[in-house]
Amino acid sequence: MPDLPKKKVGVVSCSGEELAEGTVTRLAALKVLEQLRPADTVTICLPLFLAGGEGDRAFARFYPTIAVDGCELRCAARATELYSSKPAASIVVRELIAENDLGQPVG
Amino acid sequence: MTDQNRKSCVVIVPCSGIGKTYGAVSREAAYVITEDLRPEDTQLVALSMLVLGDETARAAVAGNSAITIDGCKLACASKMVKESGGKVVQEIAVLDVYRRYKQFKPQGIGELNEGGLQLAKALADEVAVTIDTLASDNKGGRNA
Repeated sequence: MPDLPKKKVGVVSCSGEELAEGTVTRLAALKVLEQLRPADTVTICLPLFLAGGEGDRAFARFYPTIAVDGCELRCAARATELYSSKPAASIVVRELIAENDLGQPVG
Repeated sequence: MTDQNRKSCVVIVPCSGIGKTYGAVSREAAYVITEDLRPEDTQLVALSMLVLGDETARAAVAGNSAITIDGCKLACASKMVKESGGKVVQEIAVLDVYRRYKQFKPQGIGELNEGGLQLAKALADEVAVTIDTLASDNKGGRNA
């Protein structure tokens, strides 16, 4: 049987610097990558993805992605769809906060 | 406040690259500059918003001088500011700063170690000097 590349899931976080929710997306993506699903995930650098990183864009065209955004602007989800293909799943931190009645993140 | 009355400031654009320690240093340095060292004179602009064409982000870059902080040689922040019509007055590569402060050994991504925080502070101090020079030049220009 050929040694096919393992199917991985790309996690694209917005990493927005202006909002605490952006930092939450960054930390969440790193937690998935390093602790929760290290064997099954990669992270995609959003600035590089947007700036024309062909490797990142190609990955997102052929592999499933999860967009993690801090706010309703959904930069990560929009960029992934714009430059590659629609994310398999999309999460917005502000929606999670509202749905779970969580406190507002600060920092 | 009208646009004419609004004080001009320096836009700080870090790469914020995920997955690399130097990206985390660039992000941390930007926070030190805009929140601690020169909050009145600077504005943080999120790179992802800028590149996606957010009008507010593009206007901020187009109307002010910009300092970019990049974590790797791809220099996404610097490239994107220039492509957005911004005037980059200082391009900083974290690696270059590290070469000047090799006593600080940065580690970590989600959470920087003490060396990473110290490197970010050193970088931020250098940027603060640039900001002060720009402010001084502007005052000189107005008085001339």
